[in-house]
Amino acid sequence: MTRDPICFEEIQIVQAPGFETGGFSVDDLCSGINVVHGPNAAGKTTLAESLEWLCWPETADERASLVGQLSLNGEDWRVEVDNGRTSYQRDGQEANGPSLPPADQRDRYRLSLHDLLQRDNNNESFAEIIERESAGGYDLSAAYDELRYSDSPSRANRNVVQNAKGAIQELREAQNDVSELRQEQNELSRLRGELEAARQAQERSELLEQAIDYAQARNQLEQAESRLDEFPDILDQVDGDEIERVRSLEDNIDEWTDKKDEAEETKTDAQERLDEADLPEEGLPTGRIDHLKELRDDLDSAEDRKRDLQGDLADAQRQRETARDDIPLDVDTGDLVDLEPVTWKTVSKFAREAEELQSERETREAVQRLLEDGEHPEPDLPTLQRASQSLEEWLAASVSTESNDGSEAFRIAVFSAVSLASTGIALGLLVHPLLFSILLVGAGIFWYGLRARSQSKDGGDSREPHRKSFEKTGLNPPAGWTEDEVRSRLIGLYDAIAAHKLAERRSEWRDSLATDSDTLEQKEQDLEETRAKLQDQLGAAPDASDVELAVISKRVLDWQEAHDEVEGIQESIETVDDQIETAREELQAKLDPYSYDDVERSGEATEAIRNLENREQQREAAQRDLDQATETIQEATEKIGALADERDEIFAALDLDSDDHERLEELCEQVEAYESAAEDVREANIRANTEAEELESYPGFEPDLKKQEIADLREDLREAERTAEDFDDLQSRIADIKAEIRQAKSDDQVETALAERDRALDDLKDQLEDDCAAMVGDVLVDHVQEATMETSRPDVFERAREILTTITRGRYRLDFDEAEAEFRAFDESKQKGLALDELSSGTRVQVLLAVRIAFVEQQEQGVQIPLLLDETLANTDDRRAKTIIESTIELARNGRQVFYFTAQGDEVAKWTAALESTNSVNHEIIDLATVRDVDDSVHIPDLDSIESFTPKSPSPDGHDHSSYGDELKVDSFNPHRGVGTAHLWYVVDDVETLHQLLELGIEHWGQLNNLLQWGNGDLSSVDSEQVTVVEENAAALNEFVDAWKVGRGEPVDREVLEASGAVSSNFIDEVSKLAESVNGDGRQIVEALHNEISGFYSSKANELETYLEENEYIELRETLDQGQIRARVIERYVDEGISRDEAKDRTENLLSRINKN
Amino acid sequence: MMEDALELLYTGDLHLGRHPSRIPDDLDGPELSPKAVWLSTVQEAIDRDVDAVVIAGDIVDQENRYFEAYGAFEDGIAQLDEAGIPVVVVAGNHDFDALPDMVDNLDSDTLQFLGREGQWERWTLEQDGEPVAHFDGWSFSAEHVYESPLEEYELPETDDAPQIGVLHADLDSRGSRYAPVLSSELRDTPADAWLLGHIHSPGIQIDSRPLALYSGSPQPLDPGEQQAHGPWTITIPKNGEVRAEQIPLASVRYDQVSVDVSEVDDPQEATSVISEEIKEHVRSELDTRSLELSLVRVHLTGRTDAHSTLVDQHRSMERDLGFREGSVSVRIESIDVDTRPAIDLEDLAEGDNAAAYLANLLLEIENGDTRESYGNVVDDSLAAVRQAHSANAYNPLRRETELGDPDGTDAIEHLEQQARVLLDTLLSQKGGNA
Repeated sequence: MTRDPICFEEIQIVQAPGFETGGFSVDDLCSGINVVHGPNAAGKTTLAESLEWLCWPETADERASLVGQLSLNGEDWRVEVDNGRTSYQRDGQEANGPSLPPADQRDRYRLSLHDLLQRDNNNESFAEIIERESAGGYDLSAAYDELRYSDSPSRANRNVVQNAKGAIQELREAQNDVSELRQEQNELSRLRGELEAARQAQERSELLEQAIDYAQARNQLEQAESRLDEFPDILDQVDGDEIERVRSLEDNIDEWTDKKDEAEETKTDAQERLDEADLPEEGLPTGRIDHLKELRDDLDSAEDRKRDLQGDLADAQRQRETARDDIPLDVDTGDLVDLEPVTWKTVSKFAREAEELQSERETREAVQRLLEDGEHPEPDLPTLQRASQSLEEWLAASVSTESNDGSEAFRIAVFSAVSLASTGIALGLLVHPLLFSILLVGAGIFWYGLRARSQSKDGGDSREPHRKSFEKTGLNPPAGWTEDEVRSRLIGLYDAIAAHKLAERRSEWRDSLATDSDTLEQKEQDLEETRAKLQDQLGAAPDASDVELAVISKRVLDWQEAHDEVEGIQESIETVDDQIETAREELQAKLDPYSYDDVERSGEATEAIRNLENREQQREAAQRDLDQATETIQEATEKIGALADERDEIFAALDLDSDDHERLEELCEQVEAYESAAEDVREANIRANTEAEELESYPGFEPDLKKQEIADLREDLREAERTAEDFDDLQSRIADIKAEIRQAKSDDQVETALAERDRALDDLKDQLEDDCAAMVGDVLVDHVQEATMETSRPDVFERAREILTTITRGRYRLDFDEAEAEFRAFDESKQKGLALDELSSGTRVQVLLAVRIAFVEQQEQGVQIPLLLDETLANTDDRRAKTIIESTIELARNGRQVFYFTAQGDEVAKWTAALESTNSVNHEIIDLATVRDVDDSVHIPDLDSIESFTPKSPSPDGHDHSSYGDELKVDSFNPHRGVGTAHLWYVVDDVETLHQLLELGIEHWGQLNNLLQWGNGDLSSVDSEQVTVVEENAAALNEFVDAWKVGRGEPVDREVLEASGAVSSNFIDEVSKLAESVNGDGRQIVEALHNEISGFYSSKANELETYLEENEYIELRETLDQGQIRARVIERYVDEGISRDEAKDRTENLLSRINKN
Repeated sequence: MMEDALELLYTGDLHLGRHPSRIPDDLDGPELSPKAVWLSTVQEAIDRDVDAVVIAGDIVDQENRYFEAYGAFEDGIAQLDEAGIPVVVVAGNHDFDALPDMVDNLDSDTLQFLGREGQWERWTLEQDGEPVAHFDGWSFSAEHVYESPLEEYELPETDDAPQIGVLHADLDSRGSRYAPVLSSELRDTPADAWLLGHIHSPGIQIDSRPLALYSGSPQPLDPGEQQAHGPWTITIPKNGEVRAEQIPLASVRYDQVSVDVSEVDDPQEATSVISEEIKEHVRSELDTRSLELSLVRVHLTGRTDAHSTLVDQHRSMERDLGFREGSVSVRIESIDVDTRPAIDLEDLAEGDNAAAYLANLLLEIENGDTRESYGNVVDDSLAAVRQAHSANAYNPLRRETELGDPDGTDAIEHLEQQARVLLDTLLSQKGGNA
């Protein structure tokens, strides 16, 4: 549809806000582009508003008063707005206003930079309208939302994925547990083997420990032996007390030596004494002294006898004398001697018998008388006996006190007894034999005396008691208490006692006489006969009585007897003298050798004998001493010898010099140590033997073990212990495994994990189904949109797209996001869609300009309203200014009047330059300063040329395709960024065409493709055949990109890295750089993070990896190799209708171009 | 049963270690494990005092073929051993490696593993010194076996006792990697019966001599394994036909129920209709003696105004619909919305707006020809489906399952569904249906 434009030719501002006192007029406005410049407050805004108000007077400020001249449909129109009143004239005629778009759309025509860059403008209303209208009234977007469609796999329910992964992981773990258990089960036999080995090692350890014990014992033995060997061998014979013994022996020797010496002295002394004794060496013959004493005793007794005999002789001689005197016969002595004894015997016998008979008769008569007057004399016998005893004791006491024994009493008793005996004998002989019994009395007296003596020995030392005792008897005491008197009295007592005895006897006799009277007669007869014979024989007168006879006979006999006794005594004296002589001689002879001369008397002999005896004793003592000394010397000598021998033996036994005491002592001192050492050896030996036996008792004993060194054994032991120490572990490990197996057999861990996995995978399948549904829905909605857009999308969108494509030289394509109901721009050279707020301000202005202009074009009904651009270029760079200027020129070229207001001189210059180079559009530069005639005009710089906005392409002359690429410095092609980003060099084979396109400002395939689809004829100058070639190449390149992308995730950039949350701000720069360096390859980034970027946590790298995987930045598929990619590209060429051969060639070309850069 | 008849308890494809799929979390438990059903099967064999138990392979699941499965199997074998019931087993593709190990490690006199190393093997069951049955078995020795085990083997013919073939094989599936065997091959053998494993759905394959059947897995493992499952009793009378009877010991059952929701206007109504249909299904179809859980896949059909809502809400309906019927918990395994919007496409197709576009698209899909006018849409849909499939999020699916590469059919299916839903939605924007 073409519509006529309104074209202001002149405007008169009579009054307006800010120009209350007077306005200004602008004429010479052209139908094309009017660049109005002037300083601030010069009236630009007022002019712009005035233009608006003139179009829509109802919106005019009431204070404004304006007049506009304009042309429309070839008619001149005059519009007056004056304080709210509006009037129109068409060709000078009053008229209604022309049909213009509604006033509420007026802002569509006023494009201020400020407005365009505002986000919250009413572009959205444009979008909604476009969307709804394009779908034919259905709200696809709402349906899309309602059905939760999506163009990518759902990321909403990650739990499902995580659950699945978790369940799989759990299953893996459960299966791994099983695998591990399987391995462990498989290991069981090995473990059992090891256990057995460990057990054996334990035994071996014990064995080795024992072997070590043995080796230690053995070593100790060796050491002990070695220590023992250090001692002299002889020590084994040393008892240790040898030195003591030697010393003791030597002490003994000394002792014995002393004894010997002493004996020697004794000996000398004895010898001297022997010499002194001067006796034969052998001493006196045995019994010599006794013999001498006997001899002396003999001599002595002989002398005594001689004296006795001499006394007896004298007595006998006196008796003989007496007897001679008694003999009434006168006869010679010789006759007397010669009288026949036998006759005397007979006479004696007759006398005796006559006497006896007479005696007997007289006795009998006497006895008769005695017996008849016999009365017991006084006092009585016991008193007498007591008295006698007292006297005896008295005497005895006196004897004892006079150091004499009781011999005094004894002597008295003996004397009395003898007297009595004599009397008895005499009486017996002479009177009657019975009178011999008087002897008994005498014997009693003797006995009494004997007792008195013996008693006297015990007697007291005082005579007084005895005297008293005597006095108690009441008898007449002695005449005086002298010994003689006492003795005399005692004799009297004895006589008295004897009288008593006699009295007793008389009594006895009387009895016996009576019995003997018969025999007496007989005896008288016998006697008579005998008498006769005797008278005859004696020659005695026959009248001599018998008694005379008997007495004569008796006296003769007595004399004879006395004579015989004298004779006998004399003979005895001679004999004794002989004996004395003999004894003296014998004594003399015996004493003579001992130097005793003239021993005459026994006293001398006694003296000599005593002397000899003394000498003998001296000699014996000396001899004894000598012998003893000799013996001692002998003994000592022997002892000393023996001791010395013993001592020498000690030395000799030890092979020492006898005097080597030092050595011996040394040895003895060593004995203890030696014995200790020997004991050590013994003990060590015992221990070694014990240990050896113990060792040998082990079942695993090997003889070699006994020879091994401790170090080796220890090493073996350590090894064995190392093996053995595993025993418990192994045992428990085996038990554990068995337990685990038992447990596993009753377990359902894997089964449950499998079920959980299946369940999770079912959920995931459901989600996949949902994803497929959502994504197919997305595809479907796309297609519905596309289809309906093609048929019913408002022209406004198509126009806007066309305008944008045109004014951006194909760089941007206008898109419409149905879901969000908003415009987007697709950057063909980057192959990237962008929301408006993602665009640079320049591009955003271009997009909005396109949309605005399209709307203005499409929506405005009736006429074309002038566009008012208010400082649209302000603060823009040259390139953007250029595009806007060019865009605006494009609009103006289609017949729309454009006003551009600016206070910037350089903008004016740019416009001027641009407009002057474009001949097809009218333009007018209006300086408000000039119009209003003010001084401060905008300074317009002298720009050389606006041509500089358009880069010149290098000439292709002399270049082939490859070298031209070098000349162009073509960027390498990044497949990630899509085929649209490929420089045209890659797809345009012909360099001329390439140059031509570049001259048109088309650099990338996306631009060209955009222009081919949406452009409005700019490419008419390009060879269509070449365009076809370019399209084929682009399709092939697209195939290359698709194939290349297989297995490669979406490129990772800083934005992705930040979104992942896994890269902290500390690392983001470094990692972003890394991402760039690896062309956004997620896999490589993660690997590099693990290995190259120091300090980056592995966990974070894993987190990033998970994020990249989940968000498709890392794809798990394998990439295609070059061959596969080539094949696909070839196929694509073929699909495009190219022969296979040519396709191959062109594929090679294409790939070589890609690879080149 | 005749007294002198031989009675076997036959099962296979136990897949011990695996768990039935799609069981709602809240109802799941060890009693739904195949292990439980295996032990029930063992108890059944003991109770029935069968002459032997035959297991036709895949005793354990490949993915969990060690301890857990082993333990349960061991327990069962021990019980049978104690009861003096011999067990004949062959290895399948899942336990070709695990079963020999298990058998070797089991100290059981009565367990007969036949066909080790892929070599046919015969074991004769004797009673009182007399043979009462010959079992000829063959086992997998690798995961894949491309040839028929019967190809170069002739079963020896004997007349002293019945002959039972035990084989894990893929029947009548040429080119299968799992010991493809043809029915004709089985027919050519002197066996009285072929007890097969591999196919999880139970069923008699050859109903004449020799009888050939798949026991199916005693516990169904996924919704594809529908109907009743359990071991079978095989009765072989001395004279007469071999009989096979299934004992529905499975504690889980999968079924599909089609529900026509043409008459319903909203999901609530649909829910009650579906609920009624399922209850009816449970009451009429299910043997609930051993059953604990019935999982029903609902296929919704019909032309309904509620189409879009049903599509939108079918997941929540799946979750919400559930009840108990006697001792059985009944749940919806999934709802397959195959309804149509109540739209006159022909009418709508007139015009050039979005609705017309979609109506035309659906008409063409229904006509089976989309290439002419909608080739791009289909291509883009396929690309989208493929993109979805290739999304990293679905790596687990690709790795863990045999997620097929989507093709045009998948794309058209999705496209059709979305076109219907989108059309329905757009039309509803105008306050009513066209």
